Order: sequence, then C-alpha cells, then structure tokens
Amino acid sequence: MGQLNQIISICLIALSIIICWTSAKLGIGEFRNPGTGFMPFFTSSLLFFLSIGLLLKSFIKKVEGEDKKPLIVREKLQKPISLVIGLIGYTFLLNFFGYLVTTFLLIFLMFFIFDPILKNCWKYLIIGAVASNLSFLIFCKWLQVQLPIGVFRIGF
Amino acid sequence: MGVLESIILGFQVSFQPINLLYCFMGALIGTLIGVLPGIGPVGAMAMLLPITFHAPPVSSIIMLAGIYYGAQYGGSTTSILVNIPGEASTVVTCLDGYQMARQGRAGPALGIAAFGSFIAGTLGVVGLMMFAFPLARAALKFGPPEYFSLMVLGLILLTYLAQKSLIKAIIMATLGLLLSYIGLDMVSGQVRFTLNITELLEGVGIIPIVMGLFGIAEILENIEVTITRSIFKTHVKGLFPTIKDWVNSIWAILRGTVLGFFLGILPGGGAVLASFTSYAVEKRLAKQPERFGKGAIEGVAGPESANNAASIGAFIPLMTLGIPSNVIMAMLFAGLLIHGLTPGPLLIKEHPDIFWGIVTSMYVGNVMLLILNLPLIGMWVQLLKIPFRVLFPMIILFCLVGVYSVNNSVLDIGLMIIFGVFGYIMRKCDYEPAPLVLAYVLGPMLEQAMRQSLKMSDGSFTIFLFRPISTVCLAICVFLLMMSILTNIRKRSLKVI
Repeated sequence: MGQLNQIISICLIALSIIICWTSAKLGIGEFRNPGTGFMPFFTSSLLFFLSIGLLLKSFIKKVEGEDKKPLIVREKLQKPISLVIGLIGYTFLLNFFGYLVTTFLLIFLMFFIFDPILKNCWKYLIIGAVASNLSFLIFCKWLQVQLPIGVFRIGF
Repeated sequence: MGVLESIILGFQVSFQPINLLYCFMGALIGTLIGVLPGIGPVGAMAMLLPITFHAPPVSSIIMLAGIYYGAQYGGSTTSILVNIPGEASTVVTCLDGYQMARQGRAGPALGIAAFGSFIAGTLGVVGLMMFAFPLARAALKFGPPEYFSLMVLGLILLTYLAQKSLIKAIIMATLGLLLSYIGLDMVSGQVRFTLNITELLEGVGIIPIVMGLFGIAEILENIEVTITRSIFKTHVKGLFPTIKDWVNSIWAILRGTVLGFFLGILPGGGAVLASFTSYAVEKRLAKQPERFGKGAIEGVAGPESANNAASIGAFIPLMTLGIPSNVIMAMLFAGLLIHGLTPGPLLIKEHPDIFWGIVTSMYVGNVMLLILNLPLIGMWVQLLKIPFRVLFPMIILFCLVGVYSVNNSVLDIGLMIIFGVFGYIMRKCDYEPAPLVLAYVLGPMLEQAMRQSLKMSDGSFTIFLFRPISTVCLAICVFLLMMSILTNIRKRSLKVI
C-alpha cells in the first residue's frame, strides 16, 4: 500500500502544480478583487502541501518498516480489470452499434466475468438478450430516455 | 402562515395520489437498497435522479428522501439476520442484533428496530417542524462571510469524522473543490480547466461523479473476492417485542432520537455518527454493560432510532440554510437545483407547498416503512438470496443508462468509469469519497461567498473574524483540527512507548 500511496501523492503533486500554473495564467487577481484563478490557485496550493506531507510521511513509514502491507494482490485484480475494459469498450461502441447490441454484449460479458463457467454461456446469452430488451422497453419506451440506435438502427 | 396551517398544507400535498405513489416508491427502493449490501442510498439516489426529471419537483424530492430514510430501515434487516450491514449506519446494529438472532430472538430484534425507527422518524419530523422556521428566519440575516465559515465548518467536520486519515480526507475535499471549478467562472464568465471539451463548459455533472465513486467503485471492490452470504437459519416469529423488551428499550429509543436528531443537524454529521454515539451512550448508561455485544435489545433500539432521527435532522441545514450537511443531502441539494429550486431560507417562504409537502411526506413515509418492514420481512429475507453475480450486472446497467440519460452523452459514461476507477484506487489507500462529493457540491457557493466577502471587506480577511457567527464557526474548525493533530501525536507517542 505504501508504494501505491507514494504514486498517488506524486500524481497529486503534479496535478496541483499544473492547476497552480493554469490558475496563475487565468489571473489570480488581488485580495480586494479576486480573479478567476484565485480560489483554484489557493486550493491547489493546499493540495500541493498536503500531498508533499503525505509523501514524506509514507517515506518515513517505509524507513521505519511500518508499511508492510502488500501493494496489490494480482489475482484479485482480474475481475475488476476485465470489468473496466468491458465498460470502456461499451463507451466506445455504444453510439456505433446502438444500445441494444452493446448492452447485450456487456451483460453477457459481465455474467461471464462474475461467474466464468463455460457451460453456462448459453444461459448468459439468453439473460443478456432478455435484460437488454427489457431495459430498453423500460427506459426507452416507458421512461422516454433517448438511447442510441446505432448502425443497425435497432430499437425505434 | 402559521405552523398548523403549514402542516395542513403539507399533508394536502403529500396525500396527493402521485406524491403517495412516489413516497411509496422511495420507501420501497430505500428498503431494498438498505437490505442489499453492495450499493448504498447515495448510489441509488444518483441512479434514480435522472428518472425524476420527468416527475414534478415535489414528487421527485419526496421519492429521493424516501430512499434515504428507507435505507436506514432496510439496513437493519441484513445487520440482524446476516451480520452484514446493508448500510454504514447499521454497522453497530450487527453487534447485538445478530446475537439476538442467534439466540432465536430475530423477531423482537427486527421488531424493535422497526418500531424504534418509526418513533424516531416521527419525533424527528416534529423536531424538523419546530426548528425549521426559527432557523430559516435567522438564516436570512446570514451574509457571505457567515456562509463561507459555515461551509468551511461543514467540510472540516466531515473530514474530522473521517474514519481513516484526516490528511487524506482533506485532500479528497480539495479535489472536490477543484472539480467544482471546472467550467465557466460564474463571476467573470471565463472558461476554466475544460481541456477544450465543449461538454465541460457547464462543469462535470454530479451524477457521473457520485455513480462512479459510490456505484462503480463499490462494485469493483466487491468483485475482487467471491462473497458468500449465509442467512442465519432461524424462523422469524414474534415481531412484536414483549413488555419487558419495551421497558428495556423505550429510554434507549428516546435518547437515541434526541441524540440522533441533533447530530444529524450538525454539518458533517449524519446517521453513521449518530448510531455509533448512541451505542456508546447506551453502553455507558447500562446497569450491566457486559450484556452489550451479547444480544442486548437496547444495543439495537438506541442506534436504530438514532440513525433514523439523524436522517431527518440532516434536512434542517439543507432546507433552512441551503447547506447540505452530508453526501446524501448533497444529492438532494442537486435534485432540488435540477428542478429549479434553490434550497435555503427562501424556500420555506416562496415554496411552502414544497417544503411542507416534503416534511409531511416523511411522516407518511415512516408509516409506509413500518408496514413494509414488519409484515413483509419474509420477502426482504428472500431478497438476500439474490446472488451478487446477478445483482451487480443489473446495478451497472442501471448506472450506465442513468448517467447517459442526463445529457445523452457518452462522455458522461466515460467520466463515470474514470471516477469509478479513481474511487476504487483511492479506497485501496484509505481515501474516503464522501468529502470529495460534499466539497464538490459546496464548491461554487464557497467560492462565491469567499469572493463576495473579500470584496465587501476591501481585501481584508478580518471580515471572517469580526462577525460573531463566522468567528464561532472558524474557532470550532481550529479546535477540531488541533484536536485531531493532538490525538495523532498522542497515538504516535504511545506507540513509541
């Protein structure tokens, strides 16, 4: 965890520097007439100092040997990573293939990720088809949500 | 308009069929969310917020409020029967509730939790009616410096109450503030931090943030390991507590109600703090404190009453000052804004029907919850058997459609995923998401109040120190920060010894 903490602190320091710089460019103004960048500048400065403090703290902990918790258990990450990849794919494909097709694929994928048993594939296909159509009926027809129809133009 | 007339007006609004329907839906969904571990009321409210766009404002807020207090009711069921708290505020119910279930007293435990919640909810509504008027009148005298200091106090209190690390909680709050700056500056109209993305001109929406941090991140964390739930095999019977149970519990319920209500009002406070404090108080006051943790009914009655009273009390700062005191209130705040209503002292004056309609609907909702929770307990127990592999895809699907439907934008889905992954990583390092969301909601108001105050004082920060309310708020902030630092130093020195 210590290593991950350090990475996060470094990212936050970098972020705060970028925001400080951008805020200065926007115009901090003066105390009697604060500019657009006034609050972002001081907020990011606070973030900068807190992140520096946290980074130093994690280094001290490391030296003292307090932080012995493993960074990440790789086996545990398989399912979350697969799900995130699936969701990113969904985001990119949604407008192209339309709601029904992409949702069907995503539901099938999610069921497979959560319970990866090959012989259940046909069951997941049916669940994917039913759930995507049912959700389409609820959201699009009943709740009047405009969902993308994609190149196949399914779901008018 | 007098209080009695206002209450009658409120009941006229809340008894309208459409509002009764929305209240019932809120209570039902809230109980469901509370029963099912994995997604909390914040995530549920974020998911359902887009759906309420088509509904009248008062009905929408009635439903969202119902989800909040309904989740407090439902959360106790899983705590008692499965030893898994459906909600953070019902964690403490596990201690004695589950032990009661193991001793074959699941019925009285569930019964006292429901009755305690009902009594607390009802008294909480009475308290809300009593306090809202004078506080709203006082709030009209607040200027930008008072608002600024009060909001800072809210943020500091929330970070002070962070269970893990104070610095990390403040970092999350600063990140929330920075997120709130994205978009057009409301004073100069200048564009800030949009990365030339047109859709970000109006800022990042609250729905992708909350759904990502509370919905997606929660699921990512839960799917790491296969969770097996074993429902304690006991026949749930005798839901009505005996006279002895009532004698043992009634003072715990009343104490929990008062304590919870006032802790709920505090900015940064809420149901979680209320339930833990009530448990500690009951244990301290008990003649036989050793019974606690072994199935003491007061250990269920007190915290369950406290968390419900707190959930009602939390409406006071939102409705009277326009300041959300916790993340859930921040969601309701967003809900009101979306419907063109600005929470604050003028809400009671300009929209009494909405204010009193919401207040009285809570009473109606409490009656509905009592009916939903006692006779239908068997149904809720059955729901616990839904496997996570079925539940999670449905929650994700709901999140995706919900977030997309707000602006018909794929970018919002992308943002939700980014915040989901961000929340997941931050949780791994003990960064809590609640301060980020509250700071994000308070950010625009905080910035405006700060800039207005400085303009008023010609650039002097002493304006915050020479106004009594502002001074008190800032003094409390300094005290809390000092307390936290001293506690940390003491902990470290004890470790060294």
